[in-house]
Amino acid sequence: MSLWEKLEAIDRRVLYALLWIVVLPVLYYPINLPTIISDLTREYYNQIEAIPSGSVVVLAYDLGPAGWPELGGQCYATMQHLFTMINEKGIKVVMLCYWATGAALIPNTFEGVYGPMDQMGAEYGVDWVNLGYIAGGEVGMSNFAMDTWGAKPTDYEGTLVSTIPLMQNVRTIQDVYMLISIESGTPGFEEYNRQWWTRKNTLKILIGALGVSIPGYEPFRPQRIQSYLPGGKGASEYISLVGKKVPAILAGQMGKKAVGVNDALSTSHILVIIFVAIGNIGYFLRPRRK
Amino acid sequence: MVEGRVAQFVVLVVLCIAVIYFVERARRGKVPKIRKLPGLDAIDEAVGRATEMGRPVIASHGIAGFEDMFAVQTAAGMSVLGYVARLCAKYDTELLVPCRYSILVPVAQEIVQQAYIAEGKPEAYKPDNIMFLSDEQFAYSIGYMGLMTRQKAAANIMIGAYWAESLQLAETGFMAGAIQVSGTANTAQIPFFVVCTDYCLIGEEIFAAGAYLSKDPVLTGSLVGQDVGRIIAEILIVLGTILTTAGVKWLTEILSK
Amino acid sequence: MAWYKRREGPLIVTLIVALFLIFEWYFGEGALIPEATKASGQIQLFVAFILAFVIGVGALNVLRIHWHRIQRRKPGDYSWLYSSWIFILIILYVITGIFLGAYSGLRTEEPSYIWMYDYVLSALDGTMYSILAFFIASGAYRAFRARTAEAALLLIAGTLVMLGNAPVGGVIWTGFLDINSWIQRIPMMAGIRGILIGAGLGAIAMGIRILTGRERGYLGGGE
Repeated sequence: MSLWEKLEAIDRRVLYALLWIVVLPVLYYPINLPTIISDLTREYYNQIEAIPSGSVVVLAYDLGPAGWPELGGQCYATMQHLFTMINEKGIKVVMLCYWATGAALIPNTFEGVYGPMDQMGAEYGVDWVNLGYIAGGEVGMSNFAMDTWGAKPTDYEGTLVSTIPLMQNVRTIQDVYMLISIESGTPGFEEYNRQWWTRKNTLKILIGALGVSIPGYEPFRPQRIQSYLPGGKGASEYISLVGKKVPAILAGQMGKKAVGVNDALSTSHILVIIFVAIGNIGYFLRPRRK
Repeated sequence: MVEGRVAQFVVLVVLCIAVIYFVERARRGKVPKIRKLPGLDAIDEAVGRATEMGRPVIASHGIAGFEDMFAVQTAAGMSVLGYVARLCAKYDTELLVPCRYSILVPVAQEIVQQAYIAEGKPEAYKPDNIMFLSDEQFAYSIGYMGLMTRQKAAANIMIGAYWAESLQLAETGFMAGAIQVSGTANTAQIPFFVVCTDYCLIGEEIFAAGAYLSKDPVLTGSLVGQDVGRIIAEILIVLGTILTTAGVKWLTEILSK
Repeated sequence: MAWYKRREGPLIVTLIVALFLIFEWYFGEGALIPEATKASGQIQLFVAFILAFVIGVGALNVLRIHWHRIQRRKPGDYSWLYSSWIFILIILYVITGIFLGAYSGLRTEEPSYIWMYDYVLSALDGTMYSILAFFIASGAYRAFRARTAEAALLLIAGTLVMLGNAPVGGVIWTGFLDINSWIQRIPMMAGIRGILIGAGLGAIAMGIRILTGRERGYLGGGE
């Protein structure tokens, strides 16, 4: 086998081992490769900054544990950003999820897994509420849009929503200004689009997306989706923006993790490009059999 | 009528009429012709290869069920499964069908059994080959991957609705040395199938594949009804592009009603 | 055949409910016919209850299937051990989550349950998802070869998008970001819109087949 044929047919285990080598160390010891904040991330940030005073925002955790490594940073940073907006503009936040496995991830965001989250004096039940898991998937979304109390009579702790001050003014989708859905699959935006946006076509929608799901959101931007965070890269960029308002987020574990994720994305992408180039060089230069 | 849904309703009614008309026409014997899709020849090739090698064929219909928006992809996958089952029955090739939902196991069993009966080999049908793995996505995926690796499948046919496990299954099939024919209408997974499998049906080609292979008049007529919808969409896109570029808004306004 | 086993019943129920919901969507939503909206909401609540119940039924079904596998085990076939393991885990989860430990309203705060979620389920799910990184790398290395003009186009577009998506790509040259953005906003978006339209039409046709009783797969197959 000539050298070029060998380059064309490198054992995939070599590639896997090299991938480990370029990704694992930088996750623990970031090398602080530079990054540029994308327009999408900036727009996501600006949309949240522009929420009018007193508006109701629904933050949906439509993800499972599989998506948490990529989307956990987005969840954390979005919730932190919303707490700053509660503090500055008195917005109201309703957290919920349509994935059964997502409900248990909401406490992860608060219980110091990624470092300090400053609730900035927000009061549970008045400024924000966690409704937890709502059963039914797309049908559950339709129910919530028509009658929030009927769709989810209690919050995550079992308190009747009819006794929660925040929920007095959130009865249907018409009372919601913005939906932020951090999602890793179905049910997700397509279902929200069919059940929520068609009932209120002025609803603002922001998506926290997996990298592989981005192509599915682009056709709906900017009319239905105002912006989305593109995967782990978007999470890192967004954390650096939110860190300007809440510096502790950058100093904490989430800030360090974000830098590590950025570096790992950079090194892994470059490695794959190098191997693709090597494969093509081997393909073009290998001796052709006549 | 509710504001903003008039145009939607009109299009829906037109589509309903088109689908019902062409389905009834097909049921009365006037089955429309569907052009052959390149990936479909590959199914025959894949089963043939498995027969020569004496290794099994694995055919799956996706990880969706029949109760949601992805039911149409599951239906297409089941139609292809019926065709694959007939080929396997004809050539005495072992067929394995991993299912994600236990409720689909009897459906798949009936389809495969009918195929074996149609080929005159009812005794060769093995109900245990149609198996429920798990209704958890990644548990199903790892079970499927294990099945492909242990059984050293020579052909892997995946047509239906797939999500994140699509790349795992495709790459494992490649590692097992299987020839792979795939198809899905989930846009995020199509690139993985295109890159990692030998033949890929993209988007609505899987609906055409289901109709073409099963020769079911209902599916074929329904496909033609969908084509009416596509023609309407194409006309609106072209007209809308021209008119909007020219600053004429009446079409947009009508469609917004 | 017993009347409750016949398929006409579910078909009629499907048709009536679906037609009513379609009617409510186009003619009765909101203030137009409030009674229709209320009735539609109730029907959809029933569906949500049934779907929630199905989760429990699904778990029982899994137990039933794996119990049969344990009972039907053959010498030399050790897959029944995996079925036993599933049994043990399901029972462990249920007992830990429902019967043990502290509660906060309807939510268990039992540390063992939370530990199992965080360090077993989350870890395993995350591991399965992360396999994709390796498979993408090997798939890209194997498939991105400029064998034909189309393959070369795929290679060039894929490489440009990868460079645009990598955080360091924009630092190497800001043009990668613009090219990536253009590819995603124009050609990629056009292709995906076409596929979405096709898939949507397929879903409508499927709905029509179900309403007219031509599609019976959801009833368990057969004529």
